[in-house]
Amino acid sequence: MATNAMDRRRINGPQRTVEPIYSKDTDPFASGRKDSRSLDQVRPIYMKTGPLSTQANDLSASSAAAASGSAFYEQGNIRVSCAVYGPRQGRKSNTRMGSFDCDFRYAPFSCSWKKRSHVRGADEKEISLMLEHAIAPAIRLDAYPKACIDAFVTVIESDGKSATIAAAINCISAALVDAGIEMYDSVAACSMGLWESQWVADCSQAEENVSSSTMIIAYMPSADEVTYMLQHGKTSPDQTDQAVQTCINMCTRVYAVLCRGLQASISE
Amino acid sequence: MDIDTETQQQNLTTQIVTPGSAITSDPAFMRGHGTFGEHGTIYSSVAGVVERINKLVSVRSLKQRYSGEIGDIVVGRITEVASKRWRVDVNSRQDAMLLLSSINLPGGIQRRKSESDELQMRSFFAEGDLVFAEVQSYFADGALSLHTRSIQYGKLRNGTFVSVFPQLVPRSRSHFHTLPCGVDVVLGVNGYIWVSKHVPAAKVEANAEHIYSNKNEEISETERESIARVANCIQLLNRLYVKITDTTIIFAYEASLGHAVKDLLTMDIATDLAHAVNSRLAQQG
Repeated sequence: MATNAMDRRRINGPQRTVEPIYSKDTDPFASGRKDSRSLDQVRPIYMKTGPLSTQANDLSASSAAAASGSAFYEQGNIRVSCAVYGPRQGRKSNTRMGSFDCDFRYAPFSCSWKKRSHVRGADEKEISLMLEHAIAPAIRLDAYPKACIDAFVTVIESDGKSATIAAAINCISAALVDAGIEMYDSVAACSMGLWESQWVADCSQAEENVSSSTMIIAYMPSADEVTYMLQHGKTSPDQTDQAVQTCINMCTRVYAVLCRGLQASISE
Repeated sequence: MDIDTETQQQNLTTQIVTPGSAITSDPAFMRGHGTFGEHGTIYSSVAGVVERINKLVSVRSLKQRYSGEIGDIVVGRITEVASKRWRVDVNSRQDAMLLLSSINLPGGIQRRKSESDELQMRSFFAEGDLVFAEVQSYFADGALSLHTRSIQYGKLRNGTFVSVFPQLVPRSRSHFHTLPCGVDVVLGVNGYIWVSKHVPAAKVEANAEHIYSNKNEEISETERESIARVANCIQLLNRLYVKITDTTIIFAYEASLGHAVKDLLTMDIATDLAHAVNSRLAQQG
């Protein structure tokens, strides 16, 4: 009787089912963080300006079509490069203010857990927009009427989505400074993840996977202004408050590192 | 970082700043380029070196975009043919304009530009052509207006193009040089440089009908080589971050004579030449 009731036009599941064997949920913080950082510590930062643009006093400099400014930024495993073009004649020409456009891309090999497509995905478009919002308030766009400034960001290696976005913001800031674009302040950004009511700074991908909430803040330290804030997941207002405070403190520290790197690149 | 007292003013000249760093809160100072003021404090808006001229504080960055001044001699590339005007890329924040009314007609005929001239604008300058022009005025939005109303200005041909940092080309009496090696150089203050075969001025004037010609003249092998050598020397000076004038180009050219043209920009030869040019410049004082 049962065989008669079976629908032959569909692929039917097996008669007998067994429960899959789940991997034990490993606690990434069981014995401190994997890379023995403290909870409010950002991964070590390395920064270099001008890998894609012509530099003063560099005899090995390359082609004439080079970017106006560029930067390479490393934060732990995260590697991001950014090229800035402009200010140059914009496409929309009847604007009093300059415009800032950003193009954010993951390299196909950048995420070790997943091959990325060459086609620009929806998340890349979204992040591009986020970066524009985070950086544009820092640029003196009123000084560049009718002009546009373009930033092209490529993630070479990613480790933690929110941390990568924060790294991209820092990288663009450095590249804009390298291009000599007038700004009110450099933007420094940093991210956090919430893990069992504990905020953990600059989460790697493994840590982000187990965190219930994430927070990204972009901040201009000398102007004391937050330019962008993004939170995913549910928290209590107190927790958010605490995260904002901690993030701002960390941004100030990241900013100090950025400034020192930029000053070193000028005095070379 | 505040520079308030006279005794600290020495620091002001060697100070390196990044965007957003406070330079001074002394109301006696005026803010110049690369700075902005807020709540009575002067902040830097670019990364660079703080400079002070009397009471004027400005920040000079290593890389600047060219910002035009009236009377500047520039080299530009036509990007668009619009109605009664050409848009010209002059390495600036926005494209410059070259109005149809501010060019010379072939043969130097003096008359108003008619509708038929408007229709054949592409026969004067088409997209991609290089022009040698002078800045005539500004538009209200800060865009530059160029003119080519002189026999020496106009379309560029018979040569090669080099792009350098605009701040390396100083404004001077003459921007058109004929080097002793038989090469003409047009040093645009916007950082665009044209290196070409030497054509005597008398011959240019005699051929006034052909100022918008797109055809190169006959360029011999040796002329090609010296054009390439001068172009590479200018590129070298650019990488050295040395002021680019006719004298420095000649220094670099003479120092480079022992090497093949194609090797000039390889790392070790470039380093050798850099030393030679630098010591020559130091001797000059």
